[in-house]
Amino acid sequence: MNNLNIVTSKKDYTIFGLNANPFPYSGIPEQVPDIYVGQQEVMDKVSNVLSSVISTGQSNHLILTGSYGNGKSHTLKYIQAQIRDQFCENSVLKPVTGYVAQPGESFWDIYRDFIYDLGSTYLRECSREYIAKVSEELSKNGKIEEDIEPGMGWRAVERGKVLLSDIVPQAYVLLSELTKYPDFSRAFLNLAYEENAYTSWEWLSGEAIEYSRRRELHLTSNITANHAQRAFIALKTTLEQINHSPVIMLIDEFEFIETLQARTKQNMLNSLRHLIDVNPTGLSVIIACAPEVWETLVAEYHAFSDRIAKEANLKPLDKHSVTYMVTEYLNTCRTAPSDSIEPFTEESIQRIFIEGNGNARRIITICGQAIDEALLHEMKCVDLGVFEGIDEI
Amino acid sequence: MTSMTNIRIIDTATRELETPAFFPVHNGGKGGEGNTPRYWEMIPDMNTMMINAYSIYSSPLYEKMGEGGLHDKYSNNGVFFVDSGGFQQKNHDLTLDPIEMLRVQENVGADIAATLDLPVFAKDCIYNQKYSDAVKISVKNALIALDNREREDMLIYASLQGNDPIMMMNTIDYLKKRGNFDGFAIGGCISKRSDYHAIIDIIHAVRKRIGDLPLHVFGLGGPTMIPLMVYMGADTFDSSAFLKAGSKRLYYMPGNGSIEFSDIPETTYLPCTCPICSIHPYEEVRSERKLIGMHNLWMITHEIRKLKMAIEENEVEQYLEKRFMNSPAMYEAFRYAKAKKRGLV
Repeated sequence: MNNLNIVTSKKDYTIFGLNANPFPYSGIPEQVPDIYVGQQEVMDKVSNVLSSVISTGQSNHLILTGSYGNGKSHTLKYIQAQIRDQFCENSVLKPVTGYVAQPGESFWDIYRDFIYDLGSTYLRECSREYIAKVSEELSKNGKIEEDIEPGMGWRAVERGKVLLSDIVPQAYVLLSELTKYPDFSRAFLNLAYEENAYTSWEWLSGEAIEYSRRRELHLTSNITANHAQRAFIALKTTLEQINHSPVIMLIDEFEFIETLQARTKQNMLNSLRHLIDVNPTGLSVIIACAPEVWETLVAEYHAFSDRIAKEANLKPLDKHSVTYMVTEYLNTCRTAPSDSIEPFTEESIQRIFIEGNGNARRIITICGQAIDEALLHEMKCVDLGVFEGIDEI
Repeated sequence: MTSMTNIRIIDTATRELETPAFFPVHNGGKGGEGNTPRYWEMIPDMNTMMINAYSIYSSPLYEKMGEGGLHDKYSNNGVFFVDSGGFQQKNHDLTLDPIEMLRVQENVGADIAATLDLPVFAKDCIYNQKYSDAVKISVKNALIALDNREREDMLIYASLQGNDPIMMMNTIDYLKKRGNFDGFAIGGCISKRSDYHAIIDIIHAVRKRIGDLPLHVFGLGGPTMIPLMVYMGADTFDSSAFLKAGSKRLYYMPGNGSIEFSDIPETTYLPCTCPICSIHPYEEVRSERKLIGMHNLWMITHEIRKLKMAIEENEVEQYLEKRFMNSPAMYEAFRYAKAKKRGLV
């Protein structure tokens, strides 16, 4: 009988000057990637698009093409991480980025993924920020007796300095006038409070909530496929009120739409076209798609593809980029950063470059396997001999 | 940490009041007799009364009462909770003066006075300006009462209005920042009396916010609701349901809900051993609403006794588990309450 032999002890990579194997086995992108190499042209194009949206407020969109494994998902997540880094909490500009892993079957799926990625904590903070802003404005205009210093609105509410009954009806009226979606306004405002936050979040994230629970928050209907566009626009409008703008939507694996039936696919593309049309300001949609699918879309659905102003193409990595990427990964597990490729040798890097065919995911996978193989055979470095032991690379 | 289910002692001007305590509503009436039986003479545990300031003020009773006030009129050792008249204000579209009502409360010798509120109904929501105005008026009146009190020995409870815990909590923060109230009283619960989750949520939120201060719930006080409210942290409650039930010939069954008296087959022995049911025959109880009302009050007394025993033995949850076993709706409410207290919902 053959039994599983699961080893629970950690491998010791110190022989290579590393505290762990730096290369993820599956070659999938990190949630918050630190390393990004070899795609300067892509980054320049993305920077141009985002700079124009952020500086002028005019919407601008981009398609990101690249073959499987060339780093589309990685690029989207890197863009998100970079924006979050650059526009941190205290920044005046607060762009909102949401990652959508796959378009799904309708804009409703995109909306839900987007909201989930923003997260309940973030939206709750936004809700509090909005209530705080209204409190400060009412105080400034003499509509309430209490003096509230700028930036102290939420604290005034939390500490009982102002009455919610003075603030919330006003906040609700103002927000509903802007969003034209009273249910959304109610759910958003209710997010601010612990007691109602869970139901509000469920509703906002597009979950179907039964009537008895909706009634608690005076929500008349759920967000369905018919309401998703409206909900997204209401969200964008709301966030703009607290200077959380522009909204940057990162849609991954757009090639998925090729699996949809013609009518569903058409509806999806129409929804996105409509989204772009009704948001001439404050929106940037960056779509990652396999090039062959994008070419089909350009040929067959130009009403949609015409609206995406720019295209950036992820190219396979060259030898220099592979070396740089390997070094960067190694540095994540070194006590002190270095430019060295050790434990890899020049020859092994060359071999990895050839075997990986410039495909980032494949290169990462090979590197991870190679280090483990070298460790297993108690080799002092990852040289060409290692590749004898890897059955399939 | 504040324990939510406790026996507390509230130090009133007349005497120490041990909680949980029920305040039967006395309906006053002309001359102060009304149709409320003189229960305080028969039930030693129930020497408490809830009476309404506006009702007293608008009847000859106020003039007749004289300096001895409620204590001379009804019971020297009784603890009197005098409500403000907020409900009448809303129902009859009146605008009462909070200071005038406070003076009535003080003059009649109230041990506990609730500030003049403007009740909101279950259908009202926070986004409605009229509703928000009602909450604001209640808050303003509470602060006016505190600023104008002349009797320091009369406890002043701030009346809280609102349909959601958020509003209640914010109101408490606002009031606590501006005054030292002796306790808080939750209003507007009658309209949502069958929405157990809402009641649980509100009591839970308020209790958390007010710490160890006494907490009263207006208008709810049936024998099944009391244990649930006490479990969530309420100390005192009032209701006239025991008497209204008597008028409708609704008989509180020992330990399990209520039954229309006509559904009890004519029998030599009523299914209860309280002094009413022990002494009076079936026909007499059936024909006299005051007797059914008194029986109902005995049932409430019995419930509070059992609850106090469970609190003392630190077995409230076990007691409630058994208490609600045969009532699916209450059992579900209890489960929700339990989860709420544990922070699971």
